[in-house]
Amino acid sequence: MFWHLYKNRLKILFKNKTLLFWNMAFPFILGTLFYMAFSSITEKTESINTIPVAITTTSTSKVSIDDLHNSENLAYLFEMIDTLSEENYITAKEMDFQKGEDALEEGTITGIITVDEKNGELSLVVKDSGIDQTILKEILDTCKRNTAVLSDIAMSSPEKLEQATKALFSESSFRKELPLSTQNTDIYAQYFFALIAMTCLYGANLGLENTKQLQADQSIVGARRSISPTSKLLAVLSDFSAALTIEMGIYFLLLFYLTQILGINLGNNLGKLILIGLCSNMVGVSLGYFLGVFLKGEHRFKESIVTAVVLTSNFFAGLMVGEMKYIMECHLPIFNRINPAAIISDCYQYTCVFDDARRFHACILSLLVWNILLFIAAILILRREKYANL
Amino acid sequence: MQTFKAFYKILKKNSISIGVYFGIFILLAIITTATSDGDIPNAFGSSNVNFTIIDQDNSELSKALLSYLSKDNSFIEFDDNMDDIRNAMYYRKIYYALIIPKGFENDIKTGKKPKTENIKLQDSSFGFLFDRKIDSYFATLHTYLSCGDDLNSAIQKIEPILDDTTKVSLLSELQTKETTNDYSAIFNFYNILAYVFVGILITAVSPILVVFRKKSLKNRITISSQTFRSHNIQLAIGVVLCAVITVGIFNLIAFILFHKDLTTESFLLYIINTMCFAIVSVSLAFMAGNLFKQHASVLGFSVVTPLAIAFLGGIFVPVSVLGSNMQSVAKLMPSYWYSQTLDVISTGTGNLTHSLLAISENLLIQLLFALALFCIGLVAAKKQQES
Repeated sequence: MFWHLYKNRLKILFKNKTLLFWNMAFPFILGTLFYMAFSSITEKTESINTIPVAITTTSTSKVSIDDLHNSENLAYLFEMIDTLSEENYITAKEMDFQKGEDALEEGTITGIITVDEKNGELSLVVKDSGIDQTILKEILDTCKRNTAVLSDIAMSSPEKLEQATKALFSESSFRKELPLSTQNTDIYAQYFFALIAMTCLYGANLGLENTKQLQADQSIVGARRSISPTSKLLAVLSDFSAALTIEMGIYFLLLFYLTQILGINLGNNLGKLILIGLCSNMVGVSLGYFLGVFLKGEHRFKESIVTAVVLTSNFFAGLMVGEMKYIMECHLPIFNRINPAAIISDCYQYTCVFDDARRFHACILSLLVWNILLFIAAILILRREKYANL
Repeated sequence: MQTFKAFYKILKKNSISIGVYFGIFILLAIITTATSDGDIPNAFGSSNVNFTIIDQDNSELSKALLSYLSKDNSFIEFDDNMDDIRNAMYYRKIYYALIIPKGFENDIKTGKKPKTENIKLQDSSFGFLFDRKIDSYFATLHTYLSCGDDLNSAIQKIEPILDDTTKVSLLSELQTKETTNDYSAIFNFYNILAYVFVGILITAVSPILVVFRKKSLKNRITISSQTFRSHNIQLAIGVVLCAVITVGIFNLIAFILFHKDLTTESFLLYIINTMCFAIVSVSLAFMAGNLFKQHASVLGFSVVTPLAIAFLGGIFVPVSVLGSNMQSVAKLMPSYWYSQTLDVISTGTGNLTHSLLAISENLLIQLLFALALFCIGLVAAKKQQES
C-alpha cells in the first residue's frame, strides 16, 4: 500500500507545473543570475592584478627619460619595480608626461610615477582613488623611506652605511602566514548557500500541497482520503516520502548545475552534501506539513504564509543581502541558531569555507530537531481533526 | 467606461502583490541608501582598509606598529578568538589580521628574528598592501637596530620617516567629483526603481490583459454595444494611468527625501528618465499580457523578469564589476541604458552639451526597447487572435 500511495503521490506532484516552476526552475534561474552578476566581483574588486604604471620626469626632454635608469637616486625604485615586475604585480613603462597623462585618461595605466629632475623626489599622479593606487603609493613610500634611512645613517654614522644597506635590503621576513581557509573564501558563495537553503525550504510548498489532499475541508481528494480505510500515518508517510524524493532530486540537480556547470566551489565532501540535503529537505517538507495543518483558511492564504515564512527565513540567511546573516550573528546570534535557512547556510559554510566538524554537527542536529518538532506537531494536529460538516 | 472600471476592479484584486513590490522597494532603498558609501574600501581616497591586531605581546613595539598601521586604515578591535576573526574576514568586515605573539619585543631586543602571524584573504590587494606596509616597517626598524640603536630609540627614529609619505595628485578636479558622487543616495534610489517599475507594472497590467483575453469575456465584449475602438482606448487609458501614477508616486517620494540635494534641472531629467523606463516596463507588461494565457505564468514572469533586468542590467550590481562578457550582455538590457542615464545625470560628463547628448541617446535607446517589446506584444496578440 505504501508504494502504491508513494507512486501516485509522485505522479500528482510531478504534474503540478506551478509547483515545479517555483521549486525547480526558479532556483536554477536565480542561481544563473547570481553567477552572471557575482562571478567577477571578487576578481575585480579584491584580487591583486598586475598594475600598469608609467614612469616619467618633470622635464619633457627625451634625454632625461633615458637617463632615469642611470640615476643613482632611483636605483632603489627600479630595483623594486624589477622585482615586482618579475612577480607580475606591476608593469612599468617609461614615457613622457603628456603620453602618460593620455594613457591615464584612457585608463590603460593606473598611475604616473613622476621623478623631479632637480631633487629626484618621487610623486604619483592618479586618475582616481583605489586600492591599486594605494599600492603604488606604498611602493613609492618604501623607496622614500629607504632613501631617508640611508641618508640619515650616512650622515650620523657613515661607517655603518654598508651594514645598514645590507640590513635594509635583506630578504628576512617578520611575517608568517596563517590560512584563512583551505577552501572557498569568496563572499559571494554565501548567496549560493542561501539559494540552496531556499530551494530546500521551498519543499514546504510540496508539504503544503500534500496536506491539501489529506484534509477533508481543503479538497475533494482530501475528503475522499479522510473516509478511506487507509491508515492516516501510512498516507502521511508515503506522501512525505514522495515530496522528499522530488526535493532530493531537485537538490541533486541544483548541486550538479552549480558545481559542474557554473563551477561554484561547494567542497568535495559528497557525503556531507547528501546529509545536508536530506536534513534540509526534510525540514522544508515538514514545515509545509506543519503550516498546512496548523493554519486555518483557504489554500491560497496558506500558500502566501508559506512563501512569506520561507522568504523571511532566507532573507535573514543572506539571500537578498549577503551580509545579513553576519549582521544577525553580531546582534542576535540566537536567531541564527534557530532560523532554518541560516542553519542550512551555516552547514555549507562549515563544510565549504571553514572545515569545522563540531559546528557542522551542531547545525545538522539543529535541523533534525526542527524536523522532529515540525513533523510530530503536524501529525498530532492532523490525527485529531474531525469535521462536523463539510 | 465599462472597460476602464473593470480594469481598476481587477487591479484592486492584485493590490497585495503590488504592495509587496512597494515593500521590497522601501527595504532595498533603506539598505542601499544606508550602504551608499560601499563596503569595498576606497583605500586611497578614504584610506579605510579594516584590519585588526591581536596584541599578545602588549609591548612598546606592538603599540608602535598598531599606531603606524592605524594612520591610514581602520583598526577594528577583536578578542583573541580565531573563529570570530575568520568569520569577520570571510564577511569582509576586516581584510587583514595581524597576531603579535607574546615575547615578540624581547626576541627582537635579543637579536632574534621572531615572526608575527597574519591572516588575510588569499591573493587580495588588501593583503598585499598590508604585507608591504609591515615588511617596510620591520625593514626600517631592523636597519637601525643593526646599526647599534636600542629598540626604543629605533622606534622613535623611524616614526618621522614613516610619516613622510609620497605626494599624490589627481589628474583633474572634475574626476574627483565624479567618483565621490557615483553612488550617492539619489542615484541608488533611482537605480532600484528600475527593478520596482518592471515588477509593479507587470504585476499590475499583465494579469488584467490576460483576463480581457479570456475567450468568454472576449465574446461578451464582441457582442456588446461597446466598439472595439472604445474598448481599446479605455484599456490604454487604464495602462497609461497605471504608469503615470507609478512614476508620480516614486518621484514624489524622491522629492520628499532629497529635495535639498535635487536641482530643478536634475529632478526634471530624473522624471523624464523614469517616464521612459515606465514606458519600457509597460511595453514589457503588454508583451507578457499577450504572450501568456495563464495567470500563474504571468506571476512567474513578473518575478523572474525584474530580477533578470536588475541583475544583468547594472541595477543590483554595478556594470563595472561584471565580467567582460556580462558587460556586453548588460547592454541588451533596457535597465543598462536607464542606469547609464542616471549616471550621467548624477555625475555629468564635464560638459553640459555632452551630458545632454548622452542622456538623449540613452533615452532614445530605452524608447526603442519599448517599441521592440510593444511590437512583440502585438505579434503575440495577432497570433493568438488567429489561433
